[in-house]
This record gives sequence, structure tokens and C-alpha cells, in this order.
Amino acid sequence: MAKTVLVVDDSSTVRQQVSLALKQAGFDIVEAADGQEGIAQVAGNRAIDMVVCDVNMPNVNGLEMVERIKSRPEHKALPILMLTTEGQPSMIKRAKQAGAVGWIVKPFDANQLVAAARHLTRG
Amino acid sequence: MFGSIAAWWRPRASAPSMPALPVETPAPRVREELDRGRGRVAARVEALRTLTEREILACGRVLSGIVETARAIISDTDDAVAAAIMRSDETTARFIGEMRRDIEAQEAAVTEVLALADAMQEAISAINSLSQYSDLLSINARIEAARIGEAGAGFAVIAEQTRQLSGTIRGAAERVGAAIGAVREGLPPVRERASAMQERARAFIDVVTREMKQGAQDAGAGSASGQRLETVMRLSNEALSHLQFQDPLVQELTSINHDFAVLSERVARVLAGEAVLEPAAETPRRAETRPVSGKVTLFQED
Repeated sequence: MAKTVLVVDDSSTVRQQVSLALKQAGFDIVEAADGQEGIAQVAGNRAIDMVVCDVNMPNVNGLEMVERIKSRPEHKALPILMLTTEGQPSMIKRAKQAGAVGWIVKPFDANQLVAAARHLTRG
Repeated sequence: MFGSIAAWWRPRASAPSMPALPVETPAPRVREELDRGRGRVAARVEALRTLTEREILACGRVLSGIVETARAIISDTDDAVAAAIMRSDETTARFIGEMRRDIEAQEAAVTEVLALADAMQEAISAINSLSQYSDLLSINARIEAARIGEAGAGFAVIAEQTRQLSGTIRGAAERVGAAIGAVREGLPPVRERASAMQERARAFIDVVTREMKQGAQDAGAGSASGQRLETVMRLSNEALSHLQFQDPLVQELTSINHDFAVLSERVARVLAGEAVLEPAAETPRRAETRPVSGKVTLFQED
């Protein structure tokens, strides 16, 4: 059964890029345009196996989204991978503390993203 | 007069106790602050230009590959597939032309921002030379005052010259403020162009993907032509992945604009006599700390 990945990014181009790469690798995709929508998707869709998430977004940013999702016990094990233009160590540290499992700096490489998604959704 | 001033000059730390300095503008600090800000912005803009050129070149190479691949397989496909390829070929060529124009416009806007930053640098240099002159005069004024008292004619002349220079320095600082404002006005159009390029890229992949899918269906699943068309689609996706650089471009420009806003506010406060420009707290340079683009860092494997 195909794994489902939630892609959260305010850029429709990036969502499309990520979705296309993961779809071609056999993943099912759900999309959200900001952190608020992403939180709602996770809360309402138990089939989501992994989240790929931007940091700088309107309404609720990516780091806040991770913190809020991870504050719920039922989502402690949900892998969240940050995909962002940001690269400051302090921000990466905050994401790690919030519960994110990894960090990719844009522009991303589709093969590496797929490999990471397969690794994080295995088993 | 300068010969005698130079002979009298000593570093401030070792100067004897003197009357209050008549210079109003803290020019050296303004100069240092703006010089640092300009250097930081120029380095970041230059890094953006390098990134833009590299990614556009990479994108162009892949797009050329798409066109060549599409042309190569036209001869051994049926009419429906050939028509789809031709449409995609035309779309790709049109996209390349539009993108080239976008890039030229963006390049012109970035160059304009850099020119404004250079104008700011000239104003800073003016402040630099004026403030050095002002320093000498103020030191001389202290010496004269210490020698003959504040009622002395020599002091009055020098104090007047110093006041005039303070006004000139203030004028230069105001020009710097205006230059900062102009740079800030120049940044939003660059950001808008970057966003427009992203939208164009998105529209491009929509059209090419749709046409290529149709062509692949017409050719029949599993056929050689169908597989080759899938390859073209994959290449289209790869080409567009190089256009992701527009995202960091937009965010960097937003960040630069923020830096200018902070700098502008500080200069305005100094010009209003509300504050002295203190050196800004050093923030880590992104270019020095950024992880490699595209690299996946999994925390549990650190």
C-alpha cells in the first residue's frame, strides 16, 4: 500500500515539484498551503505517514507547526522533514528540538528527497 | 593651519581634559555602521547573482536537452505523438524566450540596486573625509580653548567652521538616508520579478506535462515512444527543479530589505538627533553557515 506524504509549502511551484518527485516514486500526496492548513490536515487525516514542510509560511510557520503537531501524543512518531531555504544552525536546532526528523535546504535534489522519504516511511 | 594641527594631534585617549566637543554629528559611527551595512548587502546581492546565473545555466542545459530529445524522436513516432512533441517543443522555446527576458529584467533591477549601494558608498566616503577634517578641527578647537579660553577669537572661528562642517556632514548623512530609501524602493520589483518567474515556470510545467501525457497515451503504454516521452517529462521536471533558486532569492531579498529598514530607521533617528548610531550586534552571515543546498540532513543520523 502506498505511503501518504503531506507536503506543506506556501509556494505552489515547490508543492508541485515535491509532489511530482514523490508521486513518481509511488507515494500518495496531500497538500497544504501553510502551517495552519497543515495542522488541520494532520488532525483530520490519520493516513498521513510523513510530512514535508517549509519553514517560512504565512499564518502558522513551519517550526510552530511542528511544535503544535508534536505536542499531541498521537503524532509523536510522525516523521516531519523540513524543506526550506533557511540554513541557520539556530533554526535547525530549534526544528530538531521541536521534533523534526531532518532538514533539506532548497533547491532540493529529487532523488535525495525520495530516498529520505522511503527511509523515513519504511516498516 | 593644518601643518600646526597635525603637529599638535594626539590620539583622543591621551588628550588632556578639554571643553565639550562642539561637533554635533557622530560621523565616524555613522560611517562605520553604513559601511558595514553596505558591505553586507553587497556581498549578499553578489551571492544571489552567482546563484541565479548558475541555476539558470543548469536549467538552460536541461531545457536544451529536452528540445533535442523531442526533435530526435519526432521521426519515429506517429502523427499524434509528433504533434504533442511539436507543441511541447514550441512551448519550451517560448518559455525559454520569456525566461530570458525575465532574467534580463531581473539582472537590470539587481544591477540598479547595486548602483544605489555604490551611491551610498560614495556618500559614506564623503562622510569619512569630512569627519576626519572635523576631528582635526575639533581637536584644534579644544587646544585653542585650553590655551586662550572660550572667549578667544581663534576658538570662535574654528567653532564656526566646525559647525559648518557638522552641517555638511549632516547633509551627507541625509543623502545616505535617501540612498537607503531608494535601495529599499528598488527591491520589491526584483522580488516581484522573481515571483513572476516562478509562476511562469509553474505554468510551463503544467502545459508540458499535460501535452506530454497526452502524447504518451496516444502512443500507447509500453511503446518506445511513450517511454521516451516519459523521459522528456522527467527532464522537464529536472529543468524546473533548477528554478527553485527563485525561492531563496525572494527570501534573501526580503531579508536584505529588512536590513535596510533597520538601517534606515537608525539613520533617521540619528538625523533627528534622537540617538547615536551604535555598532549593530553582529548577526551570523548566512553564506558562512548555510548547509549545502539539496543535502538531506537526518537528525537521528547526526
